[in-house]
Amino acid sequence: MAIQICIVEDDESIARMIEAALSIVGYECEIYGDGVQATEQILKYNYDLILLDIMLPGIDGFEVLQRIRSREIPVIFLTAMQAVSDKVKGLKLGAEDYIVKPFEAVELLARIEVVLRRYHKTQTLLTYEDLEINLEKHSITKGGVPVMLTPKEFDVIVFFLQNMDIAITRERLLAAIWGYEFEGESRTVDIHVQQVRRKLGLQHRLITLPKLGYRLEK
Amino acid sequence: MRLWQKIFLISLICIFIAVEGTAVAVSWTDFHSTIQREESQAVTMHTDLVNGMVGQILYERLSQDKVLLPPNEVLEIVEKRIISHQSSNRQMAVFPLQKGKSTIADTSGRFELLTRQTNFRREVLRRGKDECLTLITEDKGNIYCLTGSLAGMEGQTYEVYTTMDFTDLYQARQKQLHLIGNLSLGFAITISAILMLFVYLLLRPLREINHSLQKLAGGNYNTRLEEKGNQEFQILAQNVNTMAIATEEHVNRLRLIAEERKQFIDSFAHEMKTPLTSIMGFADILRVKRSVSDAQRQEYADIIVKEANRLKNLSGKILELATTEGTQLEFEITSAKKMIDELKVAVRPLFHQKHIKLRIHCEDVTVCVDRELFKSLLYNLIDNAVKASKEQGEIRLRCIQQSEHIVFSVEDDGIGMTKEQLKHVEEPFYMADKSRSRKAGGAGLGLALCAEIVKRHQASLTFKSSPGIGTTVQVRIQGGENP
Repeated sequence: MAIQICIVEDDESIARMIEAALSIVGYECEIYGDGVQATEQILKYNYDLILLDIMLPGIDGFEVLQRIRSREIPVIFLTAMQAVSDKVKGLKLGAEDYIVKPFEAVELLARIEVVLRRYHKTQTLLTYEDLEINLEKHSITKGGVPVMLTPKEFDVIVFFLQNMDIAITRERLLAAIWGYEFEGESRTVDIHVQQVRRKLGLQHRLITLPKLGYRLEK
Repeated sequence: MRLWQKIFLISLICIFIAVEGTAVAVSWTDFHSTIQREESQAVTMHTDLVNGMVGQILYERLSQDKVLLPPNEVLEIVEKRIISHQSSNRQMAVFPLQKGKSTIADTSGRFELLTRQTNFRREVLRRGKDECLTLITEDKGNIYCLTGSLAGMEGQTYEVYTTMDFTDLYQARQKQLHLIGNLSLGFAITISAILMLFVYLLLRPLREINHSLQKLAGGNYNTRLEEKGNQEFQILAQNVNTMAIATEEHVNRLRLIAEERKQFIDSFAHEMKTPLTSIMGFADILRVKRSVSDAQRQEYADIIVKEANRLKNLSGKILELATTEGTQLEFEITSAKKMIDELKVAVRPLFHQKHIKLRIHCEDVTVCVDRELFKSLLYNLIDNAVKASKEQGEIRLRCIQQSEHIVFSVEDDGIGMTKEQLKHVEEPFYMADKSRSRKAGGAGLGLALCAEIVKRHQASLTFKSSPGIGTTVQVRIQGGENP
């Protein structure tokens, strides 16, 4: 069953944009533009994750979060407010993450991925053509034969599989795998991607996009 | 140096000098007369001695019945006499005038000093027989009064000298000076200390004032002084309090302004980031997604254009607001009718979409305004009325004279606002109905701009509204002449 995500956002365009971004990786979304209505729906249905705007008509995002705490659904705040005190307040109330507008679609997806993994809502078994990857065992087989990858190479292929058909910039890959954003280090990314390509025989599927980055095609 | 330290030191020095000076002057006069008295006594005794000596010599000559006694006999008699008359503090010496003769009656050896006092001896010789001279001189740590005269005995002239020991006198004086010094120092210290204590006590309110001022300087603007103590301090405390009150008021006003500014910036950032989020998000999706259907691309691009327009409107309004706040207004006396005629052309495009009618009633009055800004004010009010109105609604623009004031009013039959919403309408970025307002392309700055223009014209802006019935906005401005 596909992952169900609830979007609580009063700006239609932003809600529509988030929906479009989430649909790329196959998440299903419901959109609510009003805090009270969203609270009712969240208490009724079983969502896997909630994306919650703070400035909402009716009751604000903090209030919504307090009312639905009993459901123990992971919440990511979306907000234009950048004040640290707001962040602290959101995280104290039990939010899993805090994304400041404006944000890139891929960043949103990566943050959602992290939170879902923490809640064990992602698949532990990924398959792609003749590749089988077990996230729990940290193992990868190609046509039933185990392939040896370094931990970083393993992370790289997993990230591509989780963001199938999406163009991934080197910076994004650096931030996701190495945990920092550093332009001078994009060579490292290239070397790892080349290794993954060679070891897994993905020369024609994990393609280089000039000036942009890489993409693993379906 | 602190004030009390200065007072202590200065009074210490002054009192010491005054007391010591007076005492020393008095004791010096006293001592001087004592010395004079002692000197004249020494002279008397000296004269007595000399006369007695001369008398005895005369008596010896008569008793021996000689014409003249030989000098050695004379000296013998003199020596005996000297020895019988000398005491611990009085000695005598008698010299024959001719040089080379031996000295007599130098029993103590004290007359060595005479050999050093050649000037004195010369003076004694010059003065002649009937005069006595005195000199106070020091020898081997003792002070003597040296008295000298000439005496003629048996056809011979002799120098006669006596000494009186004045050492005790001088020692007593030394002791007295020492005592005076100690006493006056003690006296000065005591008085200075008392003075210092007084100053310290008198200045205590000053320290309290200082303490409070420090608190004020540290940012506690609600600090107030107790108005007590001397009159001077009361006045000072009053003035400090007045200053504190003024400062507090100013600071509060500044704080309020800063708070409003911050609120404005926050809202502005929010209003800017919202369309930016959609634009960035959709652009990113178009960039990274491998296959985008034509329908999707169309939808995404539409949203991007719509949101970009919102940003454009926002920046335009912000600019307008900023220029309104910053520019110098150009007031001129204008006919209201003429102004509204010009406005009519400008607002026409607003009515097309909803097929709204504008009814104008304008009396023939003149107002003193900045034409462009005032037109912008009316334009914004009409724009708001259009946004609130239903399809085929009606908007009424009136301009009438009410005693000294000219009243412009814009009235609609639209959705209206609640009392709670009315309270906030003039705040920048406030939108009574966010989603409706955004669909209509509003940035929430229109009324903030109106309020600013009205403020610059020293006019007043009032709202009457009830939900579902409509809203009336009134601008009341002083008529005719320069406001």
